[in-house]
Amino acid sequence: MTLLTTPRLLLLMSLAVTVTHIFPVVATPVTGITLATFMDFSYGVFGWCYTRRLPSHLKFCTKRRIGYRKLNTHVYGDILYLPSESKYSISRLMVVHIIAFINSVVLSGMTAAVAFTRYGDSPAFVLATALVSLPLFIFSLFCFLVDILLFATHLDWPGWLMLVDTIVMAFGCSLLWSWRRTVSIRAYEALETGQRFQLRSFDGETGTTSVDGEVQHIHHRTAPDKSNLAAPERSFTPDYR
Amino acid sequence: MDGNPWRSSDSLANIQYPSCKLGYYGPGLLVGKSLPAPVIFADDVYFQSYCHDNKPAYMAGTLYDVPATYLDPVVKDWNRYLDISGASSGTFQNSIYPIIISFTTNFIITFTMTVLAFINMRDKPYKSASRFLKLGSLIASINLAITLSNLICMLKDEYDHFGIAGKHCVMEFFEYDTTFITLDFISTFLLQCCQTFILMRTFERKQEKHVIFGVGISLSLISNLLWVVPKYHDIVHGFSQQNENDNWELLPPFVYMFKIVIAASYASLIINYTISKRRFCFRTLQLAFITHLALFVVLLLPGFFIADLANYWIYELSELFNTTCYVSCTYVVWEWLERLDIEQKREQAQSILGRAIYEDEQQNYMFAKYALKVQDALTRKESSAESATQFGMDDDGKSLMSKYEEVDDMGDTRKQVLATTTRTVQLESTTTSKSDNDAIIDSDSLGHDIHTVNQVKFNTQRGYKDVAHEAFDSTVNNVVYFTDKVMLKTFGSSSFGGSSKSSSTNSKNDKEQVKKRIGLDRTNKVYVYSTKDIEFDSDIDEEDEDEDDGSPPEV
Repeated sequence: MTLLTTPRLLLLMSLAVTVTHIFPVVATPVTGITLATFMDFSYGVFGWCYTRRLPSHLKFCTKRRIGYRKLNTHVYGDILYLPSESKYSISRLMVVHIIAFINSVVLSGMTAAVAFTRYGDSPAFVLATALVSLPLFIFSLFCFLVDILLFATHLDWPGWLMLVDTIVMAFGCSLLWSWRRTVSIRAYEALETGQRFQLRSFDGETGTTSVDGEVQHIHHRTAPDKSNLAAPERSFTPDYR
Repeated sequence: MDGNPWRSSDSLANIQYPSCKLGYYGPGLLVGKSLPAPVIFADDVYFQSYCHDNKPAYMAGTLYDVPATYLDPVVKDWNRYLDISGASSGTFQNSIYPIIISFTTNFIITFTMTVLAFINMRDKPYKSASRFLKLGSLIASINLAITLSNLICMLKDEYDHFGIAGKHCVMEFFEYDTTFITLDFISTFLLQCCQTFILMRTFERKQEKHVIFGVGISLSLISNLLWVVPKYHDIVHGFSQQNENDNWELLPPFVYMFKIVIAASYASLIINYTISKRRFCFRTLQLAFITHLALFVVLLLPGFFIADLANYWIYELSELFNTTCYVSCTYVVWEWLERLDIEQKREQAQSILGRAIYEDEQQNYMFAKYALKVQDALTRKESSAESATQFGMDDDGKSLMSKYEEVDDMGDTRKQVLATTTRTVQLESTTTSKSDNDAIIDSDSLGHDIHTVNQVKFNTQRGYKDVAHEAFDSTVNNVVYFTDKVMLKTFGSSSFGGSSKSSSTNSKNDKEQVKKRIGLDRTNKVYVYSTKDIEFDSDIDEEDEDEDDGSPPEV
């Protein structure tokens, strides 16, 4: 049994994406991680901070809320500079970071269920997982676009990770959708094989039956016996004229 | 542009130029036709340079034979006007010329695409998609034609009234003209729907088609409605930028990025498809060229967004290019898919079913069994006919050539029955005999192995040994085929060309010819999907003969 099956790879990918989506959410007013830095300002999803080193060390941050605002203090930092001359209201779009984070958590849970529980054999559940992965791709891309719109090239590594996430999700989505096909085919094969096995055992044939009946996996080779197939009937041949 | 969805208003827009105000220049000599005398000496000269919208205007023409130049303050202001950066700069790229050039280019590209769409596109298998594309591109080119004529009229009026032709009226036109916005909305929506249909084409399973349809149509509807509503709001209530905390202001940039995201998703799906079909995409030079063009065109919209971050100027042009981008990344991709389809069909036609069959449309291996039965029946019939004339060479040597052609096409003698997905489950009908003595005897006596075992085999990774063996076989076959072709062409035609034909070989030849015309000369290549009634004159004769003989009719 291989250790890294497709569902586990998917689980790994979605977990990685979840972890990378944590960094922007906990950025600057919450912890020391910064989404972007420009001059003396550092930015995060919930606000921005101003750090002055000279003449004396001074640091203050805004309250934790979505969307940037100017402060009404009479220090140098009361004017907020955005590297891209964007309007401050655009910063409210950074709420997509939180949506993307929640989405990635949901996807991780679902891929874990696919990898380790019997839900992995259900085509409907895998389809639902695949459908959840689509908005995560869209939101990851959206996060990157909003970040780059606000901070241009002054993004720090959590911002650039959004681009990596988008690419990883593009790969993950296609993997998940192809996995859905595999599960669907597998379910079909299992159903068909079960039926065939019953029919064959009623026929009382030996030899070929044991070969046919064992087919549980799509990669196995099946050999339908020739009595069913070899003799052509007139009704089956199409009219070519 | 006034309605830039995310940038704050330009702080340099309100810069003051001294030459636009009345200035005192002291005493001097005045020369001109409109003066009471041609030359006058004035004690106190006050001068105000001509400005439009508080920005200096400079004559674009060159003065010959006049030694006079502009006054120093005017030249200084003009240079300052050129030096400032941003949208309010007076440089060439912010002037009317690039806009006119890009707009007319857009119009020509869109118009050409529309004409091509009407000439080239077949309505048949994808009726709604082709109609959406035709309608969308038609509306887009009508829209651009109306806009172009309106713009030229506006520029003429502005020039007549103010003596200058600026770009601001053009930009305002794109923001506030109801006709332009409405037609643009309709055409963009139709083209995005068509993009959804294109994506549906690239997915072959029914369930995936349904998902794509639902997601695609709803996304394009939402994005276009959200785009058009703020525009109409601006037209009705006027553009406002004073309220920074207004949530309404958030909508245009959101929708702009939403559209970029949709375009990027479309691009990534097309790229994904290209990667999965890379075997076909670069088969011929023309196809490779169209593949590159399609990839370029699909990446154009997301590319414009990235370029816009680097350069403000491009953003304005990307607005102009939007319609063309949508038309081209729909039409070019469509055309590319059509050509790709032909290549794929050519390969699938070599299988019995003619296309891939997926698990959601078959039950109990119906298709596979059906295909095997057809194959069996045909092999038997053909071989019984062939056994008589197997080595009896035709006069023109065609039967031998067709035999080798068959070998050449398939790479080896095993024929594929394409029944299920190419990726995971591919059924192969191998006509290899069971290596029993019976089979060998049968094949020797009848010229055909009746006890053929039709194996339903799933396509698994083959070993290197098999691959190498197959490659060697096909090389040998190719060499044999070409040698034969050359031999027959050079020597065969001269030796067999003048031989007389008997009446019995004549009728046999006719039969072979008809078979070849319908495509039944190849043993294992059955075109199930094309059951057209083709009546040839020779067919009727043949039927008469068959009835006389009492033999079963040929298929």
